[in-house]
Amino acid sequence: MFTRLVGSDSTVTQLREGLDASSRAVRAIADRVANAGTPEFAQALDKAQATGAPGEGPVDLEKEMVSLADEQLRFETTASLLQKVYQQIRSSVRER
Amino acid sequence: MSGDGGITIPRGGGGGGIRQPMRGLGIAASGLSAQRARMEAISENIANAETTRGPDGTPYRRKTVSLEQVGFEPLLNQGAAPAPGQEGYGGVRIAGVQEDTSEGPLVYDPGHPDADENGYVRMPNVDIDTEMVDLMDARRVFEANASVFQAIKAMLHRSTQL
Repeated sequence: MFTRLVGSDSTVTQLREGLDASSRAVRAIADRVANAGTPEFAQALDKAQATGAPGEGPVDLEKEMVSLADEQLRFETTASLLQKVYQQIRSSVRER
Repeated sequence: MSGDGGITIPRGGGGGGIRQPMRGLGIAASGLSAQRARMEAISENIANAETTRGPDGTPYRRKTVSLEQVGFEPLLNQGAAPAPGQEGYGGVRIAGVQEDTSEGPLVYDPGHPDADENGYVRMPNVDIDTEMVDLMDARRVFEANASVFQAIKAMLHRSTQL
């Protein structure tokens, strides 16, 4: 019973993985924005485009900023949910 | 005077040596210093736009900063988790500062101390319009990096409040 509150298939774990994914995505955005304009980056993206791998031409700052705002919101929502779940667990184990 | 106007070259990108959760901050910071170096080069170019005699007696030559990526292979798998041991979003670093070797325009000004026997002066190869456009670009990328820095900072802060 209790393992389902904090175990590997629990809501807590899923939400925590969500937070990890968001911060990974933001790190990738940080790298793309930091490298806006470096020639080898543009070449690498061209190559990736030619081979059909992910990547779409040179860095589009506006697009990156939109994804950044998106990830921020996702992170904030996930964090709030996680906080709520922790609150529920806490109140369920509290003695009356 | 031309000379090195003091463009500081921070070596190494943002990645290494920083604790993993903070690495995003390091990447954004590397972008900030790279753009700041570009702005320093631009301001040196503009300051020397009329400098006809440097320390070696030749007109000032426009300087450009070239940037290079630090460890960019994992980026091609965007969003995918990097394999263990190659946690590699490294940010950006300054590859070097180059001098633009093209010749500046010849201006007829016989009274100028650096005029040749025909009265022509070789001006620096700095074009103010180009520099201003470069400056706008550098500033825009700088601001974008600053936004990313703040976003990551807010996320770290939020995760301490769980």
